[in-house]
Amino acid sequence: MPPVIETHELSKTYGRFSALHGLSISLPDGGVFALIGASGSGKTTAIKLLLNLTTPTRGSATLLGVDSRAIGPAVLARVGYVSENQALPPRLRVDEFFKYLRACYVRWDRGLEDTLRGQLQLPPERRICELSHGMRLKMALACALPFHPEVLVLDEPFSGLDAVAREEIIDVFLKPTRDLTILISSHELEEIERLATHVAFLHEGRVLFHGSLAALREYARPVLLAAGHDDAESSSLRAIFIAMVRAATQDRT
Amino acid sequence: MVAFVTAIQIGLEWASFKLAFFGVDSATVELFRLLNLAWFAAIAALAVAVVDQDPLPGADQDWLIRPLSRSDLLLAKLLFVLLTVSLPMFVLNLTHALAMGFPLLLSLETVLYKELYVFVCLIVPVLALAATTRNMTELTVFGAALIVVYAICLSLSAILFGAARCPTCGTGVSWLQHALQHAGILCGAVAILILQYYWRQTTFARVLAVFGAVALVFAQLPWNTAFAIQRWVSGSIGVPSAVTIDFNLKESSLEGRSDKARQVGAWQATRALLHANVDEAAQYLRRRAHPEDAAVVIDLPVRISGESLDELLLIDRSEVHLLAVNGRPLYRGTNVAEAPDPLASHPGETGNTSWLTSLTVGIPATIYRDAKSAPVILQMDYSLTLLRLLAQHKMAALDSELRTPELGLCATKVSQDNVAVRCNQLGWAPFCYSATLYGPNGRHNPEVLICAQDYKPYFLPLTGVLTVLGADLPIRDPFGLAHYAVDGSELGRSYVLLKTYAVSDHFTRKLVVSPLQLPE
Repeated sequence: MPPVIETHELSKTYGRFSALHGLSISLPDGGVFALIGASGSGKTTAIKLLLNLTTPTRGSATLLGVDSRAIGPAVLARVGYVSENQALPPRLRVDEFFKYLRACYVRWDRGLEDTLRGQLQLPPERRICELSHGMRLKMALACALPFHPEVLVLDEPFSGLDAVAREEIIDVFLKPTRDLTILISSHELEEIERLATHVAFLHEGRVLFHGSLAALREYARPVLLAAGHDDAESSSLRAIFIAMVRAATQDRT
Repeated sequence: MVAFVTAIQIGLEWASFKLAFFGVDSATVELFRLLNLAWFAAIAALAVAVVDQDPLPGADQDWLIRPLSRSDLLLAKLLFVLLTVSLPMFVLNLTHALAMGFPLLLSLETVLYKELYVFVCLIVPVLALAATTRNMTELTVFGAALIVVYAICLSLSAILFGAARCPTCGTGVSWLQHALQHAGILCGAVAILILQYYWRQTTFARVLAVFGAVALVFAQLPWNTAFAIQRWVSGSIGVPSAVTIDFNLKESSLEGRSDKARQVGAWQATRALLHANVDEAAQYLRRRAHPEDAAVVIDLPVRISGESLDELLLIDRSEVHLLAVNGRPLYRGTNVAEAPDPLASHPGETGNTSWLTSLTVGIPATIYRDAKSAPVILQMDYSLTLLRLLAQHKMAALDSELRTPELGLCATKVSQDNVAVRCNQLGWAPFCYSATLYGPNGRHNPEVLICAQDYKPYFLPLTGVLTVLGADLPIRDPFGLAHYAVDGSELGRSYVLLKTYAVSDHFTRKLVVSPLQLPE
């Protein structure tokens, strides 16, 4: 069975600035894969390239077995996407937006939509531009699930949300299932640690590590020890992240 | 917004209906002008709003990750504009045409053609521009940038090439240049829509739009090509005209005069600029800076033969070649009429098909001063158009109505000083028409001849489907200086003779005068 998501030497440059350099990753079916890295490390660029929102300078990517540059409605009908920067139609009311989406997806599950909207208490009469940031993110998530996507791509889904909202989102949306592969990029490492089965560690557009969380701990042991962490086995993802970023920065300088 | 656009369309059609024939109500006239502007702005705004619902530039738009076919999206937007702009306009225009008594089939055909023209030449380009921007603000900035690029290119072209920058401008074949520009704009717009909707190449699309603005200025049809196309379009190839032009110094004299009347100041340049005639403005400024260079105009006496009584001869363009007797070129330039220029003297009713007239030739003063010291060879290359009488109709001068196939529905109305004739034709109207007021005893007032700006063989509509034609035939001079053969006393038994002319032939004639001693 081909990987759900696969990239090969995926690169993107803007003028002389290299936003992503030679990203080669492969996602198995049914896991939660996290892209982690500091701001500007290339996480969002990788996701945009994967979904053909922008075109790669070099390399290639496949999503559900289809070249990312040839993604059409058939593939998009199987992919849910939520981004903190997602520009939802501001003048539409919540209700109208759901009505519009229902017509877009053949597999739209009205029952699931009602359940999600009920749980999140989305106000049907409010215009999207009148919703708070958190409410807009919740709404985007609620729009990404009722058509039973095979892949859910989340770009900074916890950004700007309070702890209660994060818990709500994790409880409602991000329960791992065998039918759903989740690709998530986030700064919120505590949540990632709870969710992710695999991670790719990006730094300045390059992949420093790509594998399971356990493998990451193993990989980061020398860095953690050098950074003064005695117990590398029980170090948090946050500690690993900080140590690896510092080490990579020192290597460069 | 759709309701607002429809309301403007209804208002515009109502005002247009009210102004048919003799609508002189100034409030309605002002309202009509205002609604015309509002109509353009409103349909452009609606088209932009439709595209900007799902903006194409950027990577954060929600629609990009929805399972939508790009073709379906583009077609849906085109269909929406068709239904909300073109359909109401179609209904209103058709109702107007039918209310004016035009036949259903002809009305349907004309209205459909008109809506297609508006869609293709106005709406599609606006949609394409909107597709390169995210919102109205971006579009305004980008549109302003395009206008600036266009203006700079136009100014550069006018400064560098003068009147030669646009060989067809102001001539009867200018419609060919306009048709070329329309075709270019349409191709560019379609290319931009495809680039944006299928590949989202915003930078490339914007570069294409800027390139289009530059090409609009610099891609000009050469005169000979344009005139040859005009001949082909009007089917006059291979039909040699019998008209000849000969220099005739025996029966008249050669006169030269300084073109003082055309020495101008800054305000003429400003006015020309406001009318977007940049080359004309540059020419005015050049003349103002060097008044000694004002052209010397020669009235060249010629005999024109071979033109029959029911024909009209127009000069489209003349090219002046001034050579020394040994063949050395001294000057080469063009005289372009503001519009196809009917020759001043007409055979009239004398029955003669050969007649004397004078043709003006303009030569820059500096060249003229050097050239007049010795005999020269003057060669004139004329591009001419012969019109033939298509039809003539009589209608009573006093408040009457007449329906003709060529001019549509015509009406006359008498005022204190003139008899006004107005016609409303559905779609295309003949290139030239004339009106003459005849008295009961066969005497008549001077013929008023009106010709269109160019020979376009199609109707160029935007807001309405009716072409308004008309002439004011004077019967009384309010200052008492002129007296007319037919005055207000016998209007009850007078009639108006309407003549329409169609293009019969386009051809060229060469006139060589050698040797010629230029007058002082």
